[in-house]
Amino acid sequence: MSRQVTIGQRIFNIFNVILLTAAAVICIVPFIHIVAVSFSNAAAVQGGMVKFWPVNFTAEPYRYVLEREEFWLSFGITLQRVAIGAIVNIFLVIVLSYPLSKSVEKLRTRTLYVWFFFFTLLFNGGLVPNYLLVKELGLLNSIWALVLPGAVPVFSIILMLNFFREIPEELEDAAFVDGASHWRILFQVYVPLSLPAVATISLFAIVFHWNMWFDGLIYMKSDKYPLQTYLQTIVSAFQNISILSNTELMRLANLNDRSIKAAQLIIGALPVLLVYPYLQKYFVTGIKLGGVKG
Amino acid sequence: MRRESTNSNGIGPCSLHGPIFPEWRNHILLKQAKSRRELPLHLMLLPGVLLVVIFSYIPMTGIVIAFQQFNPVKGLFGDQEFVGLANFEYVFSLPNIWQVVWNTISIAVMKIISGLFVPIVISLLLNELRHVLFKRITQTIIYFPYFLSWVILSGILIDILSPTTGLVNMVITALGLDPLYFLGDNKWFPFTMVASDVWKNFGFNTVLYLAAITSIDPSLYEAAEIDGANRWKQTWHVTLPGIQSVIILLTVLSLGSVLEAGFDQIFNMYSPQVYESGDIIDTMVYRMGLLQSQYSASTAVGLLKSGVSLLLISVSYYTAYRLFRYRVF
Amino acid sequence: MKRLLTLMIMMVVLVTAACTNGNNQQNAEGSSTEVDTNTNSDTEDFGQTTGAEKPITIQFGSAIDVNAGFAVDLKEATGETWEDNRWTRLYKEKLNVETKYKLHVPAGQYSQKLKLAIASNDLPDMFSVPVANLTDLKQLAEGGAIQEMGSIYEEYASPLLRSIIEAEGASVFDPLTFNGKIYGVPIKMPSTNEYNHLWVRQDWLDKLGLERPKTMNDVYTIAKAFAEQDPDGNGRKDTIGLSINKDFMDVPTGMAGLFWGYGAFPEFWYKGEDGKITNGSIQPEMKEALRLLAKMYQQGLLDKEFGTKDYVKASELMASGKAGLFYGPHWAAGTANNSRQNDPKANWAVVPLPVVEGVDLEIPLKISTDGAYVVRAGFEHPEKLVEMMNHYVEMLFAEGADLSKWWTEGDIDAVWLMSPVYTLKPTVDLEAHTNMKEAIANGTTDQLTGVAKGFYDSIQKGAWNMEMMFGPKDTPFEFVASTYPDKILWSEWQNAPTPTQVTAGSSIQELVNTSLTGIIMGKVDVDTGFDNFVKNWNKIGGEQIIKEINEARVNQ
Repeated sequence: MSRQVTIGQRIFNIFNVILLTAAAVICIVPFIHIVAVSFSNAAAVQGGMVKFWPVNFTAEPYRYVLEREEFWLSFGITLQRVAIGAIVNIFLVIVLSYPLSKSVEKLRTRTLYVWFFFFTLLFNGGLVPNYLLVKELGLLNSIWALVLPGAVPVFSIILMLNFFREIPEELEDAAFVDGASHWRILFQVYVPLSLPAVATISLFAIVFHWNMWFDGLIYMKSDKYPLQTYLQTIVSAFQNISILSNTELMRLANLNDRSIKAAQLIIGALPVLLVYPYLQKYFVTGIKLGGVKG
Repeated sequence: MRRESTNSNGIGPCSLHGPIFPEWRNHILLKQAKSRRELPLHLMLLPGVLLVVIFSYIPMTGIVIAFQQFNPVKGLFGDQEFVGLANFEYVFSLPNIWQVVWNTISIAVMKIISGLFVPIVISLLLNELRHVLFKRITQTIIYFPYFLSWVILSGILIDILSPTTGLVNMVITALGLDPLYFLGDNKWFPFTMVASDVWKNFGFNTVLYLAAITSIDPSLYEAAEIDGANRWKQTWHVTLPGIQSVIILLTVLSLGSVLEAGFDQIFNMYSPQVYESGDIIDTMVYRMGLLQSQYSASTAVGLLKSGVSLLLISVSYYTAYRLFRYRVF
Repeated sequence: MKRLLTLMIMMVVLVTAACTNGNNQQNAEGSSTEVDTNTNSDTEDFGQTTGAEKPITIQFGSAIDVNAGFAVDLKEATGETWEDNRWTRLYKEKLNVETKYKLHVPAGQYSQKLKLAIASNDLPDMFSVPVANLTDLKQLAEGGAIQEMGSIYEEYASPLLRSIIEAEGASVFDPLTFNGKIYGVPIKMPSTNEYNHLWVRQDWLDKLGLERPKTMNDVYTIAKAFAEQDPDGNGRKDTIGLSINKDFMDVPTGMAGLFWGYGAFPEFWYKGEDGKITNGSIQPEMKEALRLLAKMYQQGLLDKEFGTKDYVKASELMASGKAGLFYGPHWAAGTANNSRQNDPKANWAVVPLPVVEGVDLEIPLKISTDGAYVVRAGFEHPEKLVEMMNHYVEMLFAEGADLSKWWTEGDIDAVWLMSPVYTLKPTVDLEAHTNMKEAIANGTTDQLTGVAKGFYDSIQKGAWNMEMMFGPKDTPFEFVASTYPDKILWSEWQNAPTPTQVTAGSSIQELVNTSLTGIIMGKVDVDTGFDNFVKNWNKIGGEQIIKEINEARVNQ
């Protein structure tokens, strides 16, 4: 590491830090606003008087949310689906992108396979047939309805196979000559060499399962909603006034639970926000291919 | 994509792909092994293929709805009336359809371009940070907005972008300029959509490029440094080529979204006064669907969109292959 | 790598735990239902039923939020749930009917789920079809998926139920009638909820020495004063004259009441002078109302940004004390209440809708329902629907009804919504208001009963928004009492959309929104702008729709 820092670099560094700080600030501003709302008195919130600091501070919204049984039930469902769903996703991405990353010489039909998978990224049959399928398979109201239809994340596979292709073929050939099977080569050579990529697709898988709410709405009964579906049903009760019935409109007379919704939002997003800093560990260690080879 | 380009710059270590075994031995062994080695690969693919057949290809039969006057009461395989291309004709006979198609494409293309460009620049800048904690914090914060839904964000953006009381316009008026009505002016609405979309998503897409950057072999940088390359040159000759394949991949894939202008976002932020510049195919189809159960027309629109995506992506895929012998995926 | 492995192992552990939990739950559910059926077959003393038959289990579909506050509160207070509460027990006892929910999601999601249930032929036995889903209802009826209910209603409906459902006219059945047959029972609701009221800050009027508005001219004068004479006294010109939102023609959340003051009825179907059904949006009366709004917009009396704000967003101006004059529903009392919390001086009043000279105010109303209950084809006991509704109205609206049991539970105000079927007497709120007003005047509030007592009690407990909605003076219901039903212009058309409404309806709606918004914002001159709008409206399908509606009405 050379420690000579030129003036040009120093200026660049300063500007770089300023620019990225500015980017970070505009990204965190709405979050601060929502946190402020979640700690504010309802009337002040409806008056739009809360900006970046709570008005008439209260922790009542959090107490209210955390005391609700449905919240914790749906939280549990989400934990289940994230755990099962992400493991299935990650495993399938790794196992499927390995053969697809091979050259045509090693797997003659690889291009056919790739397009076979890719096609599903573009075309889908729409809501009704998908629902019918899940229903006929008897998966309605089961956690597998949330896991299996999206079990093969094609985008991540295509990404992963591009990362795998960066790994020198010689490594595979050498291991193979030493008698290693494809499975061993995959898990002992490819995966350890692709940790940043594995971390990325893991993040995608976890975030996907955490945020996905529509399938929960379609396939699950309300006592088994995952967290985001549960939150969606209450957050959206405020929007789209046009499709509400008279009875629901009257209940809107209590326009006072926006701070509760803000609290729910924060509580619902925090866990998944913490995943990324954890996975960042795998983003800092570059692997010296030369070293592995020797 | 292999690293030929890196090597051709003359900085990278040329021995990267050097043989471990004598060429001849390797060659013979591989030849014998070839067929024996393919079978396990097929087996590895089997579960994925099955899942995709069941959960993607079987439901695709629903595409026939686009060619029917679909009545849900009769069921998917019931006695539906086939109407040929009538649903497509209906969609193209709607007033303003071409304006709407134009809005969709222009907003989508601007989003594609800026959505590729910004995350690359930000990830390169983040990569230049030497302070690890600052880097991690920044990296984490910029991905926050990704987790806010447009329903929530629209309320906040209406405040922030308000011409009278909004933060952004306070800055603009402080600079002596006239306030801009970002969400209510047809001149500005599409750009507002592009900018806010980039803002929401760039942090997340940055993750991908950071992963690609950290996958680069550090010995390439060491070699470059020995050759006397400064940071700028290292970025240009090592980092960018190192993530080139990811950039190309994402560019090709994003071509597929040329008709995806972002329903959730626009639906939550548009209003009649900006229909002229902001109404997109998806929002129009949604409003159509409000009055009736338009299964057929919306399936037809979906099919059209998929077809265009397929066309654009395959053309670019095969162009890349014919010209450079490079498979994008 | 190790860390990643630990993470994965942790996840696997979680999964296993989750799966076993799931199994346990299933087992638990299974066994509990067994127990249930056992006890049921043992008990034979459920008198009213025709002998010791097995109970009839009915699967319901309901568009009410399962997690609504009142349901949660009730569960905490008494342990009652959606499938087991005072209402379901009543039906079990009287009719031997057991309630289960197959579909139970808030209105926002109900439509989606209902469509899937239709397409997969998996309908609940009885379910509500909200007004927004009229087309689905039509498809269901014409596809033979639901039963004809007209004759069953005729045979089983009690006189009380009839008096409630048909209180505002038999045309309540129009939306449910296809080929002369009636396919459901309307969920009648008070149409008085669809009033649009004028709310004004009395303290601002007093401060600026202004009288309450009686004519449209007054409205303009007050708006001008509110915008320009600093009614909140903070020394800054930060108030607006009259609040308006982008859906300004909506009822009740828009400002339709302003148009009514000109004898204009936007987006409303009624009989014109020639006796033909026509639409209010294209009538010349609209012009003057638009002229006033355009003038106010131009003079800065309206929110310059109204085009991007929906009702909820726009109501922030009232809550934060930036606006003191707005048209809105009676439940805007919630907003008014918030403004009082933010500024204790705020004092709101609802005034009778002002009119221009020569106009005799008429309130255009649709016969209000929450849609209809329908019964799926093949279900053997369609009559149970009507019978349940008979019992429902008996508990709530018969002489001497015990509303402290069936309407409320302590502070929980919506026990009436816990029933799988509900419907309300159209005058339920109005009568409560009138009774309470009389009782207060006569000093007999201790003799109040029913809904009026509920209102009165919560007002006594300090529920200011209840007082603001239903109280005796300067309230929405004072105005309702003076106009309902004498001044009501009932809608002539609320049926399922005609063919052209299906194909051109959204384009027309779009045209109305964009054109009228443009006129108010001064993008075009009122006269030419409106004339062009009418021309376009007719051209893109409006004329055809009028023709279709009139033909359909003749044939009906």
